[in-house]
Amino acid sequence: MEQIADTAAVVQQNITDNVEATTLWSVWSIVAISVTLFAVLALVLYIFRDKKKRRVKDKIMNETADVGFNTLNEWKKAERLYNELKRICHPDLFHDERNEIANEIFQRLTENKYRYQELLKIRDEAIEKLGIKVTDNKY
Amino acid sequence: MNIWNTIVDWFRDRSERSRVISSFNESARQAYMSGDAPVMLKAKISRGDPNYAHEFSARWSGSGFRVMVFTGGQLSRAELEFMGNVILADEKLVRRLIVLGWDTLEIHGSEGVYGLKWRLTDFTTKINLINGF
Repeated sequence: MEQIADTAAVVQQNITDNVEATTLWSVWSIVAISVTLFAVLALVLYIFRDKKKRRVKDKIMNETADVGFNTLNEWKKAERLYNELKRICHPDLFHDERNEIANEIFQRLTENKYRYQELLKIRDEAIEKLGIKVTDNKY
Repeated sequence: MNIWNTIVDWFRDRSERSRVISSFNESARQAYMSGDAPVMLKAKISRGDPNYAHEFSARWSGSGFRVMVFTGGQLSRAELEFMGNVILADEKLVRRLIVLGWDTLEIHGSEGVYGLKWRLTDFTTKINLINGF
């Protein structure tokens, strides 16, 4: 009778151990599956975002394919031209009907201070409308 | 396949960045030789300012576009500032620099380590990832 009781206890113990092991395995498998899902989700989001970035990048690269560094030839000329124009086109120098035109030209001059091609257009307009003379012909 | 594309794109970007630097240096050389520019400039990639980082910043391969006065004389601070602003006034150029991973424009004189720097994204309208502009 005592042997039967011992056998039953051993069987009971084995069953308990197995249940604990199964529970532990379940917990770890859930953790592993969660981590895997998270990694897959992160990868999908990264790839999706990277695709969008790539699309925007390609679009801008195509649209700006013709840019160069012409400004390097122009920055000193722009500085000289701007400094001269701001001096000779100043509205305070014009006390007649040209004052309004000088105001408008001076405003555009300030807005396009760093754009040499625009400064050239403003210079031509100022010569025509204000009757100024630009001293340095090399501009 | 996507990983392969990413690798190809990475090399393509690196190549394009090198091409931009070479193009800048060649233009600067021509401008100096023709007398249009009073000094010769040289561009190189620097670390950049991490505070200026944006969506496209090349964090690991240098995000600063550094222009240095290489030879020909000294430039005043006002001249350096004007030159920087002339480069930044070209919005298409700024956009190209941004998508190629640069976030900082640095202009240095020929002496000392001090110079001027600008955040590139301040000089263009915001680029968004939906339609590009």
